[in-house]
Amino acid sequence: MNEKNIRRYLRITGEPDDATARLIRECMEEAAHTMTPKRIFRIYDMEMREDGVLIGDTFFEGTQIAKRLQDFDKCALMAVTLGVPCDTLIRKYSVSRPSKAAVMQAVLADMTEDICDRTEADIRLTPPGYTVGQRFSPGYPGLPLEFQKKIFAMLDISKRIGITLTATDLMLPSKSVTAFAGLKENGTCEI
Amino acid sequence: MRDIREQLGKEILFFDGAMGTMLQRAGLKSGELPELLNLRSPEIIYDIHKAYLDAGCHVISTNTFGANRLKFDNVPEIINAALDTARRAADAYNAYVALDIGPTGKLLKPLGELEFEDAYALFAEQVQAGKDKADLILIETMGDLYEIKAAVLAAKENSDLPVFVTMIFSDNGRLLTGADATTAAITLEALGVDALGLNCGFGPDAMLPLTKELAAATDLPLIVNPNAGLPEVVNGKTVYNVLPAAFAEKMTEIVAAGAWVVGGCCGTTPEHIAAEVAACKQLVPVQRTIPPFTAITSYSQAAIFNKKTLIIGERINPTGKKRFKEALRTKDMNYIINEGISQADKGADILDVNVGLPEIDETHMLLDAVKGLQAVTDTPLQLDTTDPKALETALRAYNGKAMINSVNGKPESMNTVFPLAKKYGGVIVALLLDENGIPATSEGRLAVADKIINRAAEYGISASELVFDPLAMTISTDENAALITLDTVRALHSKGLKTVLGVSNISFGLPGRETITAEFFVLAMQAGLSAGIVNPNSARLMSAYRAYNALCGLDPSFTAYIASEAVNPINQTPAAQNEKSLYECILKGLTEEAAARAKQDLKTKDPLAIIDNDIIGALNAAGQKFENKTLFLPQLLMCAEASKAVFDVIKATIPRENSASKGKIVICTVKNDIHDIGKNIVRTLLENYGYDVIDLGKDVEPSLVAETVVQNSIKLVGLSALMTTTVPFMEETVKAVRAVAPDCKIMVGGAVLTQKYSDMIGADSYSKDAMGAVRYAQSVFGN
Repeated sequence: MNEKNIRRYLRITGEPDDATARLIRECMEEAAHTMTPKRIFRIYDMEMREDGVLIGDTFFEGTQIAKRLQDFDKCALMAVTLGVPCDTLIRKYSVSRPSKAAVMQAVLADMTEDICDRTEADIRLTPPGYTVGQRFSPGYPGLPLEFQKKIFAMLDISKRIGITLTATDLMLPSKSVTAFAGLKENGTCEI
Repeated sequence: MRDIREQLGKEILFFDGAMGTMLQRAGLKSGELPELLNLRSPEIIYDIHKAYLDAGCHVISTNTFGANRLKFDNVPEIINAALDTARRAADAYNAYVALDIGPTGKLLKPLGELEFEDAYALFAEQVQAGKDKADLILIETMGDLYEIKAAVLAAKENSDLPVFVTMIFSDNGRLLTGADATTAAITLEALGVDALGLNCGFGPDAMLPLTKELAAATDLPLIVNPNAGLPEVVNGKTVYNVLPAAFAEKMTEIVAAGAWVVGGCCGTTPEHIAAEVAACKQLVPVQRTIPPFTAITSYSQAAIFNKKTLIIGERINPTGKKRFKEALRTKDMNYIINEGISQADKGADILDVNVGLPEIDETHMLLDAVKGLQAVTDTPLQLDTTDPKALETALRAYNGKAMINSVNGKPESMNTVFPLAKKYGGVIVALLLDENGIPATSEGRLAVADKIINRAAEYGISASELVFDPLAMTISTDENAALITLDTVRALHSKGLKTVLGVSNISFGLPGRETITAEFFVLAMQAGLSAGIVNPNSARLMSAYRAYNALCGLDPSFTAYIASEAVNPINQTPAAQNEKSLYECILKGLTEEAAARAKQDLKTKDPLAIIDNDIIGALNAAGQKFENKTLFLPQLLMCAEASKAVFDVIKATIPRENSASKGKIVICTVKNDIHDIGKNIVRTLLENYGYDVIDLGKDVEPSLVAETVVQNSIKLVGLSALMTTTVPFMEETVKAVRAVAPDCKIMVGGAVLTQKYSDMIGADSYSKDAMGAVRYAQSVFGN
């Protein structure tokens, strides 16, 4: 975990006071005990189409996604979650200690990013000879949340790692991320 | 056909293997809905059933895993077709057909959006559609005890079929929502399932330890349907790598560990099942006898009545508490929930929940309290009510196996409570009194206990589901009261029965109550008391409790004792606590010190002066530093928490303190948005500046905001949104409020909001942070 990121999420500039620093440490410890992280990814062949991109058997319509993937040869889909108990933790502190809820929120956000990074590292190790591009997610400009339904079906996310979609395609548990990442063949093996 | 329940334990029974794997073999693409094949291509399904029956299985599961109304409009049609196909295949082999019910794919509230009763309705529709043609119901791949409860109730209330439940565990040995195998087994047994076990998630290797854990926790028949190993993607296809022979060999170990019903899940094929049948069919089902034990659960943990006395927190109870009664009347749910959180933090194993007041609707209040507490704590609850309707409603909604407080020896009490306990499960507190009152002697109380045990047995409730309360009566009116109670505890304990006492009663009417109560608690523990209903906030009592455990070998390495003594206020010099002024305590966010200081200050100062000078003064100072970026959000909130603690102290002194309110504000996160952290921060600050905040929560309908504004003559509304996609709903809400209350001011905020957006959707003010909201409120209300 990266305390610098956590401070940035909390908009703390410079060194935090003692009480805040203690709170950050407490939250980091409690979050580490509470989280039940899970992650999956899968690498698909893809095909650029005029109005979008075909990833595996599934078509994603839109110029933005096509643009983001146009220089790549394959596409990885990933999903990560910190698990259900983390949401309960935030709810608890929202009621009993709002200061801790705010800090916990920042700590968990950083942990989620960390697991995304680790998943990306795994993707990087999987097919020899590929470079992995910057990951991006539904909800980014031009990438509608409706993409979530397709990603969920492709990776069987609900059954395998327990993330669910709300009626408006938001993810629960809330500390969850899905992402695309393009893979480009190097010609040489990186590893 | 014979009832499958009669076959359990006589021979090893076999379930079929994977449906999905076989459908993929038959050409189903990922993302296609397999349930539709029941209508489109029943022959494919028939062939798969037949292949498993040829492999030797006794039970086939219908192709209806996801056949619920969230995914299909024609649920009865799909389920009917699936059953017709399964029946056609099974009848030729004299095999059983299980109506297969998988999870809804949604999380239930409070974790997700789906209401418990809505989940119940989804499952009930499936059961009604399939009950006439199925031989049993298989509820499978479940990762949430609450969803299981909804499904089991739906199965039992809409059919007479046997109910089997199998669960999917994660690699930490827990369900998705946190329960370990023991907790899950206790909860499912309480719900009255006929068999339970495991499926999916793992191969047989990883399921062996979980099977053993279940076998030690329940004597119900066990089912184990593993995957053929873990999934791997090879050439774009998901494959499972445990081959039939290895699978079958491992399954013999699972049978030896106690499973009576085995089959397979993802990746298993007729070849796996054939090998499994060949390897296991000669094995004799292991007969297990588990010594009866007493336990309750929450959604993720169990409280087991064992050698160590359990602490039941008594503070969620209005008796003699002005502030608590006030909270009940004003539906201040957060106050009630915080009473629960603080007791759990202080070491309560169970929380008693009593929210009865003559002038309130206890059924709704108890339901809200149970749901509110379970949203934030996994400490199991004891439902404390004399109202049968409130009890049933709360038992039904409770996530886990609850404790019920209470039944007594009167026939009408037993006739009311026992059927509910049998239906929903629950450990019952049995008060040793009856229509003749409280027996004066220990013998008399034991006779009532016998009567209750016999009556419970008639309802199919065993003595291990009862915890007897021999009634602690104050010694101030009868100096032998404690001795009689202790004798009764001892006698019950020697019979192997569990006991509980409302310990604090013993000292009623005496000075120095904590001392008498704590000493009596120690004596009762020595007499064998299983649980004490006590005040975990009493440092004196908890200190005695931890010392007793340390002395009796119940606290290995004295971990609990050492940890608690380090922070025990008894060990701190009182002078050191209160050096700082109230203003300073609040500004520094020292919650406990601030509350203690306020209590002292109130003896000499006017409450309103404390609010204006100390609370608002400190908040303003912190707010200004925050705006100058010399103090950051966590400190600002700590300061707010300290001032809230001071408010609570003031409210306890002058309960109907309304003169301090500076105005009423409605806030919420708008429709379709579920992000409420920012909104909660704004609420915290507004409340501390003396505003009454009506918090409508998250994902709120525009019409509800408008209605609330009209009903309460609201002058200021605050709306929050985090997503660009939900800003339109913010605009809709603004319009809805404008339509009914043109003079009401509206402030907006949230990560994606800007001044430009705010102007665009017609809001009156944009706040970039929580202090901005406070400043705007001050300008609207002129204070």
